[in-house]
Amino acid sequence: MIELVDIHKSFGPLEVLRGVSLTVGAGEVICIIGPSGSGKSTLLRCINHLEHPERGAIRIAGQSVYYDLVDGVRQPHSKQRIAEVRAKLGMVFQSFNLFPHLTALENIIEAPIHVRGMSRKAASARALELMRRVGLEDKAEYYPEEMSGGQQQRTAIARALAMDPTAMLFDEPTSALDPELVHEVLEVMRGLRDDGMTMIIVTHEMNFARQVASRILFMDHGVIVEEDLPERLLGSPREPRTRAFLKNVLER
Amino acid sequence: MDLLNLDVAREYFGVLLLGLGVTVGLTLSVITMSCVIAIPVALARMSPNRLIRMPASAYVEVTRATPLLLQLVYIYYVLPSFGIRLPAIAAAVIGLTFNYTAYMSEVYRGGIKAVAQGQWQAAAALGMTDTLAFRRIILPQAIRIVIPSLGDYFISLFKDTALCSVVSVQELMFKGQIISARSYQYFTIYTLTGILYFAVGYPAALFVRWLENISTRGYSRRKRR
Ligand SMILES: Nc1ncnc2c1ncn2[C@@H]1O[C@H](COP(=O)(O)OP(=O)(O)O)[C@@H](O)[C@H]1O
Ligand SMILES: [Mg+2]
Repeated sequence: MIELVDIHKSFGPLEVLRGVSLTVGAGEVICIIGPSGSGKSTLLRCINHLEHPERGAIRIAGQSVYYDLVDGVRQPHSKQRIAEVRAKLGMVFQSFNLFPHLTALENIIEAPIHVRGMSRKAASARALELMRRVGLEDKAEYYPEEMSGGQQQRTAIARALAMDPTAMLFDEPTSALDPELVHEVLEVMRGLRDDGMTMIIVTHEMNFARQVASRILFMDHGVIVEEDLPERLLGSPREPRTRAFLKNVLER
Repeated sequence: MDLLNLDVAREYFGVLLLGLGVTVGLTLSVITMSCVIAIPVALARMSPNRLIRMPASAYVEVTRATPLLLQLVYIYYVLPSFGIRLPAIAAAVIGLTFNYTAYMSEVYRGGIKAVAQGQWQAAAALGMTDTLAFRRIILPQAIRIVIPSLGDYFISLFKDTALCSVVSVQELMFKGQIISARSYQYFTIYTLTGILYFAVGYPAALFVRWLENISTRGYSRRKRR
């Protein structure tokens, strides 16, 4: 479904990703954990080309995306083509990034109408259905700043789902939330898992990861240090670095 | 000292009112054009392409570092030497637009930059191209941010139109000068001129303040009912 091969990404002299490879099958839920600054966000952002890796290949459904390799030289795809791939990958940000000048409903129908060319009527009907699914059917007319963080994040999830993505990327979706609001967002994500959505989730919610993940990856210093089934990675990690990290996290 | 001469005031009121009409017309046409043209200029100044960015920057810097009065005089009196002869009103509209666009492009540039980076990313992640994201997501928020500053320029433009009297545009200041010189009723005519400026300028300033209040109120459901 999604395949990353030997991804390298630097910011100036700082090597943030140092050869990351990862294969995600359809319907799999991958949770990525790791200390702050280890490159988790950057990896996620490479998948939908918000960051451009210097090396490595990304394939989605078997197709090479963003670049073609022509005689060993990378040829970037057109902006239009890149946009089309992105439209099929839903992204949920830590800070929600809802459009503040639009209501919840308008946030959700914006891309279906202007990217997909859907009619306003069809897009609105679908948006209301998605709002019901994330438990916000009565908030269609609310502006983001009138909603709680949890409601905003659920709206952001609905906004991503409105493009009928083949996979969803979550970058610490609950880290900016007050503790009592974390649950409502995780519930929505659990629902997506039950519906078979392919998801890559960067998170610090270890219990959630344990329950929903098909696999958990531990990242540190730009590499995947360890990758395993949730019980195994969280219960009996092999790598000392993983152990140290988990000890640190679970003690808090 | 002359006292306010009501007969004179009555006699010339109509002429001054015509001048006021020109002043208002000049202000509205220039502010409309500057508000629009300043957007592409702002984008050009932010372009990663030097060939686009440099000329735009040169234009903005030169314009802001030279007097508006000189720019008006230049367009009206110097350009004819190069075969470009413009009617006074056209010279005024072009000169003012040229000048105000430079300042307002800077305002837009600030506004566009002030929109959070996450907005671009969210738009891109939804499959929007840069152009679409700018038009639908960034620009509406930027405009909201710049409205107070644009409003201030609107008021200052209204007063700056008086400078167009030096290129013989028949606006309010010009009329005041002509009539007072002819009638020697400086006190009456200039007082009346001032009152007319104030009669439009003050409500305009109130309007701008109202706009400012709305634009800083935040995004929320308008109170219906
Ligand atoms: N746009 C950027 N420019 C420069 N450095 C960046 C940029 N984005 C991230 N970094 C750096 O890259 C490293 C990894 O960041 P990130 O992927 O956000 O880590 P994580 O999400 O695991 O906390 C950090 O040291 C961060 O400061
Ligand atoms: Mg991060």
